[in-house]
Amino acid sequence: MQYLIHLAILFAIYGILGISLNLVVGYTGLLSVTHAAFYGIGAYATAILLTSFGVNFFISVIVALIISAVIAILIGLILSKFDDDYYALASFGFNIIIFSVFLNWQELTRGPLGIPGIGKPSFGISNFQFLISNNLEFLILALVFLALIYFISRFIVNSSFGRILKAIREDEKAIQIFGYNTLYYKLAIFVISAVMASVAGSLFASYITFIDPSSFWLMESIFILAIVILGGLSNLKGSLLGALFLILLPEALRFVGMPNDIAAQMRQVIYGVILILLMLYRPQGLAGEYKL
Amino acid sequence: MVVMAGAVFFFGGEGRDVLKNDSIKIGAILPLTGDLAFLGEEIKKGIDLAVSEYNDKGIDINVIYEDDQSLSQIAAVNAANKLLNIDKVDIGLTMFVEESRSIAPIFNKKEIPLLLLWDSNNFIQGSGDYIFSNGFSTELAGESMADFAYNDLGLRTVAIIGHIDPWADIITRSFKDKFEIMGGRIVYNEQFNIDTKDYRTAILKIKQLNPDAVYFPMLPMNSVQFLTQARQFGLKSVFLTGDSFISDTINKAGNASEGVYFTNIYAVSENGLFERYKKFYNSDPVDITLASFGYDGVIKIIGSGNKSSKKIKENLESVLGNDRSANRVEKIYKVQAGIPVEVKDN
Repeated sequence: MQYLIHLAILFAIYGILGISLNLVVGYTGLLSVTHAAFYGIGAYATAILLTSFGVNFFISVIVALIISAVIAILIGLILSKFDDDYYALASFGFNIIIFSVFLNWQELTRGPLGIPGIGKPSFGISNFQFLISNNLEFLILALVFLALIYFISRFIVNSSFGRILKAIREDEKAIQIFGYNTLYYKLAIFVISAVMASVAGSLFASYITFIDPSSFWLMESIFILAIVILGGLSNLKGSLLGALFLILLPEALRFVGMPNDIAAQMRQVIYGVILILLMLYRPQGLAGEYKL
Repeated sequence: MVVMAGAVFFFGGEGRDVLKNDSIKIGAILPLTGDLAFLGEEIKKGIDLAVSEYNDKGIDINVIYEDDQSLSQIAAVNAANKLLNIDKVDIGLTMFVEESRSIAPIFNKKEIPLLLLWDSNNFIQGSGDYIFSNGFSTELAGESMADFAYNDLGLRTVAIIGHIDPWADIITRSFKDKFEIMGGRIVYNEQFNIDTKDYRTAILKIKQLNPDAVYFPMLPMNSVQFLTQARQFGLKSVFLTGDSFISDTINKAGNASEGVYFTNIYAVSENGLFERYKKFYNSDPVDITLASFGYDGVIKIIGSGNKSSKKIKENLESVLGNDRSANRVEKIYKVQAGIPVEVKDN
């Protein structure tokens, strides 16, 4: 049961990451490969505030959110000048820069040594403090955040704002002719998405209790992108499905009986083959509405 | 496919079938894929050899291996959760301190001992009562090389060139602190990203400063690059490094590795282990020291035939002492005619 709870917590964290990236990639058509950077900013902000300043987890989430928003505005303003492949490459560059900050700003982040001993969330007033100490309680908290982000995202995509995002994805020039400032919309959704990713980062830091830069490298951005594409672009439930699939599949493969000497290698091969087959026969993803 | 995977997930599979109730269950989290797989595989062979010998003696041990994909934190955390909650292992094994940082709190909370096989540093003491190390102390490796450089080789000025990496950071700091306390002077100190391949600018700076020695704790492939470039630029200083200077690095660096002093790990159970390994696997070990990490780890765990986590923990406490670490001190070697020759046993 504890193992399933652990996987469910990871599902909730990656579900948040998948949904938030889908807003940018799926709904707006901007191929961003910088999501792990904001995930990391949230994680580091929470880790530093909890370990060095003894700040409450929920306050750290808000601070992380503000920091992510400010950085996302700066990055988003630059990214908005790019389109298509160039956008992807530029976002790739920002992921490298932020990873490099995590790795090299040793006075703040402890660099490659990482930050251990990150505390668990607690809430309440003065003598009535409730500490989330076990995994089941943490799962409930993570699911609350996931639900919150899911409903906020659903509200966004169903609003007139969301319809303009889809129009940008389909034909940005056409929507500009109608007088819409697409830069504003692209920047706004990029910042919203980054802020959501930082919430996932805060949850990750507090759950694992240790973070280092390796968790926020470019491969993590690609993994989150895989959740979005596999689950289905422009479909929030698809992102949840994608997260569920990509978190559970490698774990399920641990239970497939294979000789010890080749088990680890074979699991990775099978994992890869399943992903290839899925993309071959279901290119729009598990629940997607359109292809990249 | 998902249904099939789910069925396997819930109703069967390797993890549950192989375990017998009266056996000692060891969960080993090792790098079995990725860049460090060659290390993990060799340690795994040492574990399997020890387990086979114990099984022959009638002590039933089962090892469940999980891959951490060469230090992926998420993979290690998932593996730890599976081993503790599904397989219900009596003890965990892992290779490096770096692998243990994210899983140590999980083992500690579950009150299941976790034994590190290769290295040890101050992290162990602060990581909880259930975390142990049978490995070599990184801090002591740095200090012993500083002591050797100052007192045995009579070196007074050293340039340091290293990596931005936890191991390099700890060993460099230990070397620097000790060397300076003894009266030595660090004239240059720069750390590079692990993916850096060109050290020529740094080498030219160091050459200008003309230090007595260069201390370069780097990962294996980068050690080759650095040494080759340093020799090409005619850097004449004495070269010192740490236990990443493995035999493969020495071979690849060729003549450039000649005369390099390095602190290095060694096998405790050398007595006949090489021959037993050869007989069991029908091949020579890649590095008997690596196999010995796994072999020695199992011996430390089993001790007097303990079967419960509590007894294993008590045994480890009595063997490893209050700081729960063997804190083994590496020996100092020098490359002579392409072969590491022991020059000091600490």
